Amino acid sequence: MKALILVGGYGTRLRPLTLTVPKPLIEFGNRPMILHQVEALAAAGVTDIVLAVNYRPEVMVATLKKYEAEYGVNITFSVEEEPLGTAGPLKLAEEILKKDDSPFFVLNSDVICEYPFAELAAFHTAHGGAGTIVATKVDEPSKYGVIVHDISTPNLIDRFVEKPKEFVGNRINAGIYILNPSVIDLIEAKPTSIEKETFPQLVEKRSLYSFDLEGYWMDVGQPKDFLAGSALYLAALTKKKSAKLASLTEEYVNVGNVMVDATAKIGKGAKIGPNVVIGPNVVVGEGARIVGSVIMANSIIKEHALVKNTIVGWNSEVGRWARLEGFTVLADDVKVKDEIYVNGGKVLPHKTISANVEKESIIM
Amino acid sequence: MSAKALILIGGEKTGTRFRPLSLSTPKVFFPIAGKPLLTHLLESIQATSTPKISEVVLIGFFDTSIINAYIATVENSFTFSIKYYQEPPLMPMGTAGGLYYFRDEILKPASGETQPPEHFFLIYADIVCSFPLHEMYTFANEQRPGPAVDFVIMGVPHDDDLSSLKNDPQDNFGSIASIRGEVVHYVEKPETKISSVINGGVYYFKASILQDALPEAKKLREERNQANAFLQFHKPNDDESYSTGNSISWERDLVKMLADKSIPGYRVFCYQYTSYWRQLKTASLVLPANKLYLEKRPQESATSLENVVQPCYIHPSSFPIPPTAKIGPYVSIGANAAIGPGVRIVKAVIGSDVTIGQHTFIKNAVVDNQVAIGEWCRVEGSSNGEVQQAKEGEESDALPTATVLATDTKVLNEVRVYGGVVLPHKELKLDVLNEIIM
Repeated sequence: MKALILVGGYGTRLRPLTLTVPKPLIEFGNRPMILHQVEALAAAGVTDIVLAVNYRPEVMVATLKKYEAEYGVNITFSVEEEPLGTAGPLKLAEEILKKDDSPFFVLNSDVICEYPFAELAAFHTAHGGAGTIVATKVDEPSKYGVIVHDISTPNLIDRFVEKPKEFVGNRINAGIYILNPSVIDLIEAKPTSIEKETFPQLVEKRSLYSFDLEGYWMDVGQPKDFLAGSALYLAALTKKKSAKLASLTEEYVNVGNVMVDATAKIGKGAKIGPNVVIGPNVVVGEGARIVGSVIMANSIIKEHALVKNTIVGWNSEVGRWARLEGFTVLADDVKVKDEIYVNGGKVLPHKTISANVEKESIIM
Repeated sequence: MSAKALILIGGEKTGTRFRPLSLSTPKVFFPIAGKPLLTHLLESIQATSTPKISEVVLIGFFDTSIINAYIATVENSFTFSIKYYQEPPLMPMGTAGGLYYFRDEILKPASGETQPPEHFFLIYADIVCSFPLHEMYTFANEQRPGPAVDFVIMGVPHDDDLSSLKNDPQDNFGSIASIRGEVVHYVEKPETKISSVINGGVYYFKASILQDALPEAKKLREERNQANAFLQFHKPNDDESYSTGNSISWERDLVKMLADKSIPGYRVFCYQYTSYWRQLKTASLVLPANKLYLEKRPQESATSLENVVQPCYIHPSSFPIPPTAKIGPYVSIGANAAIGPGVRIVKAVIGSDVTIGQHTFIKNAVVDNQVAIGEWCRVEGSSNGEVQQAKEGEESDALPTATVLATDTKVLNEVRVYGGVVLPHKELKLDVLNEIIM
């Protein structure tokens, strides 16, 4: 089977992290985001993966070469000369996606969930339609395009209602699809939207179905959602009693949902959790407090600091008695001096913060 | 040649801007650098060699028991006697009301003396300075042409717009205009700038001022009140020294009348004081006052612990300080404080019986008695006017607005209190941001 991952451009929504690391390589649960998807696709029997990108940094190419070997898949970059929307990349990668009659997966690279690709493929084959959209249920459907089913045929999509004012359902497009190669013929070679232009044609033909996603789902394209998604991911690991999580018997673990890389060092009296990811070679000082946060590789959280709802980028340093909160994001190589308070600061790489940042702001 | 020092200490109804701290402790007894504010003043009086001050008179309208309890704890430390005159409800109000009412008592010989006092000092108890009483006395009595000097005001020269002394734009100070030292014009709390010398709240004067000039001022005030009875004039709301009805103000009446010769025959001079000076008006000003007294009046019990950055005052009963904690500079800690491991305190006043949980950070804060702060909390005063991204290594001179936690406040684990004022007996479960918690 084949798959196309819509990676897109510079990942500006996830800046300042993406100023130094391409978005697919940003660690989510201590592994590059794209790796979660590559791994799940390979496990479902996918052999050909196309990454639809606007730009192709060398580091990304090199990393994915490594995964090719590791997971026994072919990874191709399909580089758009101009942004082609969400459907255009399918046309551009036509050669690979249409190389056989088997359906192919399409997924948005920002979406995290349990990736039930095998079940999705079986479901798709069973109903016989041209396409299947993975649907997730949300509490407030009024912000999204909502899927409305046909009354008589189970799972057949009757229509989409964009941002409904009255409740018509709460299933929304989760950004993951499986499509028959014939769908590509509906797409013109120009910037087009799969949601707005391609899917309505399939609905018209009564050939588009939806598949209910079990478990968590999150678009982690923004820092706040990245943290929320990390918490969902960790909670799912806890449910599975995964060995990837720190044991509750560890003295520093508070409540749970804590992932600590084996090379990280945790100081005495530190209190970590819930919902914390600590990356490789991170040093957490004595008496530091970390909650609802992600600490990337090689960073140092010094003694007595408190880090809450914050992403600490790579090679950064948080001083003694500093307090970070309010969805603060430190990029690569940021230093927050001792005793400083940062609330909702987005700090660009290589900066030193030596005065309090009280309000949400960007530190250039 | 004996002298008396008269100290105006106010009462429950004054010092409202010192709330919430004054809800549980009279402002004059609030500990600054480890001692009640008033004790610093009494120590300065004790250190004055000439004139010899044989009696200190506290004048105010606090309940006698509160003041006598204080006097009982300190009187053995001083060679002078300490008396308290409580202003009765039906006496003249205003800053000079008590002085007028008790003037005959004040003019009598101090206990154990036969001669009536010749020299007087009048001092506002909420002033923080070095109290140059000897210097003012010497200045008043030095050789100069003409009649002897009867009255000296301590003037504090101030070139800029006073913003560094102000914690609140409402703050205003008496303004002194003088020619070659002789005061020619005085305006209490002017709206515009009159001169660059403000009234420092410390006075020296001779017996004739209490005996003759003050009754004269009272008479003049009554005459003027009658003449102006039908006139409504601007009256600031919270101005404690304003004179109305039966009241008499030391500044608005006596000092002004002496300066403009409405009461003729007295020579009034201004002593130019050039050292440190502040008035403890609001609770926030506890911090600069604490900083000054820690610097200028170092305590003998200063420790040499590596993790205590001097100057600091820590009550002996609050040791040991855990080695992982770091205290100072400019921190005062009262009795029986329990400081947890990894606690950081800087520029703060901590009362008695305070508990501070591990890894908590406290800066620019006033923490009253019996407050309990949890683990990993951050209690921090806001820094008004401070540029958000100060350049590296720079710290703004702007006065911080202290975070004030009144008696028996509880701050739960990991809560941040920033720039708030919390009234007594409250529990804080959520972050507080520039709020007054009733």
